[in-house]
Amino acid sequence: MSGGMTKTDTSNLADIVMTSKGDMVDFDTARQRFGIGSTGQVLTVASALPTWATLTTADSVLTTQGDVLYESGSGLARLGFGTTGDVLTTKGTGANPVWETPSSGGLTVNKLQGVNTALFETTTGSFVATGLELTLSNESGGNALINATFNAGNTTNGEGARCVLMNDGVAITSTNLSAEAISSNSTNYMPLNMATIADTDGSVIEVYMKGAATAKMIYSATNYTPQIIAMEFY
Amino acid sequence: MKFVIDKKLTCTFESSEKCGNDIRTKIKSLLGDNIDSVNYHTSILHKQNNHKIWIFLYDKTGTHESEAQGKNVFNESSLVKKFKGTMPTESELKKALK
Repeated sequence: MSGGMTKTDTSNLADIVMTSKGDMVDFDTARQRFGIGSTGQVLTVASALPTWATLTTADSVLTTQGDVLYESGSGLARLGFGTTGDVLTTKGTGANPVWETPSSGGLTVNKLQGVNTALFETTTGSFVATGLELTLSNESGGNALINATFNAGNTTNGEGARCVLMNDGVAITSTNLSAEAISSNSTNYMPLNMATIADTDGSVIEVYMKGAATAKMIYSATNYTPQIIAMEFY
Repeated sequence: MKFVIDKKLTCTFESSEKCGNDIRTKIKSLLGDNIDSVNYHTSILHKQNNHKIWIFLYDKTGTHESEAQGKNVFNESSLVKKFKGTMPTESELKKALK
């Protein structure tokens, strides 16, 4: 027999320790049998010796179409597919992601209208409430775009009237100069006041007016009705 | 001092100017030397068959009085002078407006 191995010298032969199909030999203090592992296992090292290990792979965690793989802190984990329309939401550090039904989102707009069909007049030179008003109803904060249209003036002498938008009796002119208007004549003028303000539930937006020593008017003309409109958006 | 008087009056847009002038003339006749917009002011809402008339007689020079959302509002105003003489009662004003 050629080579270094003889029938009688079997102490170093691997087959002295291998007994089963797939066995291998490793060495600790002497050659020893390293039995075959299980299907899918991989060879790794633990405690300075080879060992078979079962790895957690994506393929072993995911089971269903649409599943999402994530780290759970103790290993890979499966997040099953959510409900149609759900959105994937992180819960921040130390927490797992989840599927959630999204909030309605988008911009909500609410239109309010106040109308005054009766003629109003006053003789004062200080701003007074005209009754052309509306109450903001926004319960979620946000803003409101205010627009008021009306005739104002003095039919007696043709003078203009000064009008201003008030929020709970406080002029909002300072934050938007276009919120104050002076009518140019008695019969055919429509001040257009626009202001964007922080919307507070229950706030009363009202047109105030003042004149000089003679009566000033907000009146219904044939073409349009005095009105104040608020577009609440949040 | 505020007075609010309701009157069952009806006017049109065209006649509203005369309507307002008539009301102010009657008030002025009762208030003597007091000047409209200086010692007092009036506001009129020409609601059909339900006119509402506000009459504000100024209690104090420099303090303007008005109403907003049903509440009295006082503001400083250099245009305002104290009402002269004895202020009329509500019944006197109502009588003058008949």
